[in-house]
Amino acid sequence: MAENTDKMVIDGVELVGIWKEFMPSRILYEDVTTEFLNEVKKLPGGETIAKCYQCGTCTGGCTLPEFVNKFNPRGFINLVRRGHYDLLVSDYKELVWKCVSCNRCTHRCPKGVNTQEVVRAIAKFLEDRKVFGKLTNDEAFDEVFMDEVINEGRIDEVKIVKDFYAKTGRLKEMMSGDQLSLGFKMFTSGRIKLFGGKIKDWKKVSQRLKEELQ
Amino acid sequence: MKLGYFPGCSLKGMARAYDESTKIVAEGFGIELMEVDDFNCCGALEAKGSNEKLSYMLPARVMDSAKGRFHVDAIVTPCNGCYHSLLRANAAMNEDSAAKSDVISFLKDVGYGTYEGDIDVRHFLELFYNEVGPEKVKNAVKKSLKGLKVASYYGCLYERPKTITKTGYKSKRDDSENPYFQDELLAATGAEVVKFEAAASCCGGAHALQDESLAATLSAAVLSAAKKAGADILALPCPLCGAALDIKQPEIVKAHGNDAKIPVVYFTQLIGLAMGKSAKDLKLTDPISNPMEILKSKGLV
Repeated sequence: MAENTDKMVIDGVELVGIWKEFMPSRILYEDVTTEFLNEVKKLPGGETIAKCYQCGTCTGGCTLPEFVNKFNPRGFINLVRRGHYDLLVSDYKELVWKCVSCNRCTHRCPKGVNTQEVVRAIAKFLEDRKVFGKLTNDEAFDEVFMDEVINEGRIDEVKIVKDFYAKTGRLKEMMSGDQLSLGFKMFTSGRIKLFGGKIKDWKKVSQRLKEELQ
Repeated sequence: MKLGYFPGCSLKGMARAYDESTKIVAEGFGIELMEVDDFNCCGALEAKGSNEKLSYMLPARVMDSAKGRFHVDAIVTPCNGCYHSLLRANAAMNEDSAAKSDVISFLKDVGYGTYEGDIDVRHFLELFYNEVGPEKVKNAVKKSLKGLKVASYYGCLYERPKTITKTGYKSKRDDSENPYFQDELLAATGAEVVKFEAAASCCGGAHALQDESLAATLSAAVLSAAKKAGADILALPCPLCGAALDIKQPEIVKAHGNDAKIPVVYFTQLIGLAMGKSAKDLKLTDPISNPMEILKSKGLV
């Protein structure tokens, strides 16, 4: 960097220093492939990924780094854009899906990247490529949730919890003393209803939504 | 202005206290809510990660029902999650012509086919602040909450993200980085609103089942920040935060200790209490975190 100490004079003031190297220039890596970028772009919410200019505002305001070591939305986007699929899988696959959707990143992004949805799309990209070797909790919950919404129209909180635990093979945990006493309190106070509200003509809507999924 | 009221699934289940206290408060201040009682789930965060089209169609059907049946100008919801889904669909209807035509053809098939992205979406907290406001609340106080220290918590999706909150807005919105509407409303009841750093932090509720230990850690950070700020009670405007911070509190306290133990209520319950409504009607006995004890000790119930 030392050779970049050229003199520069602005309004009669001489500036010295490595001003040209305020930020190192970007290098286009030879191994860049847009294959993964294009895949993520097509997933729900992935569309805006290419607008990112890597400023890091998302990661700076992110809820998670304080609690989850190495959680870094800017970094996830960078790896996808540079085509570093192997690194994404080996070092970050257990992190990407941890996003809690607080949307501070999307809110603050100066470029209009829908960062929260992009991070979810990257997680989905990894799920679709079966890198986890099993159904992740996130996928399981999304499936259970969407099934219930499409079939019933509304979410019944008890049913969704039960179905989720069943799908992830943890039904026993749900039957722990603490959970049961909580459930009992909810039930006796009337907050758990055995027969949820039904929506008139939902069958027709349900049918139409299912067509949409095909 | 005609208002459709969309409670959402949680308010018809475990967060019924929020539904009932919202109605009590609205009625008390002359806000007429026309309940969209054939509502469906908004799709929450799950629809938008699964299928883009469905994530617009589900909220659109709710708005179509409100507009088709009641000819409303706006739809109001007390849930941060539903608010997010509705705003997001509204934004897509106004910015993405392909999404708009898909949604309209869906609504023509299954609903009234009247909604075209043209009604305002409002959060009950924002609506109540703008249409009623702290001054009127102050004048309506029958039982001052003086002596009660409240942490005013907002959660995530109340004023975030700007990509969708800017769309179709006619009313004055809260400050997205430092929200204050709820603080001012609660202060008007006579309560002391404590300075509380985690007011717009995330409770982790979105992963309450998928990643229980991380969600509990995030919730514990919010609850203990409220306690550290000297609050007796935490008030909030979201049933999902309510589930994470109240219903899950026994588990959180087990893992993170008594620093995270603090009663949690909906802001409408406290406003209702100041209006002189009974604890029974406001369902103040519902929360697992037991707000009755502190309210009794302050002579408020």
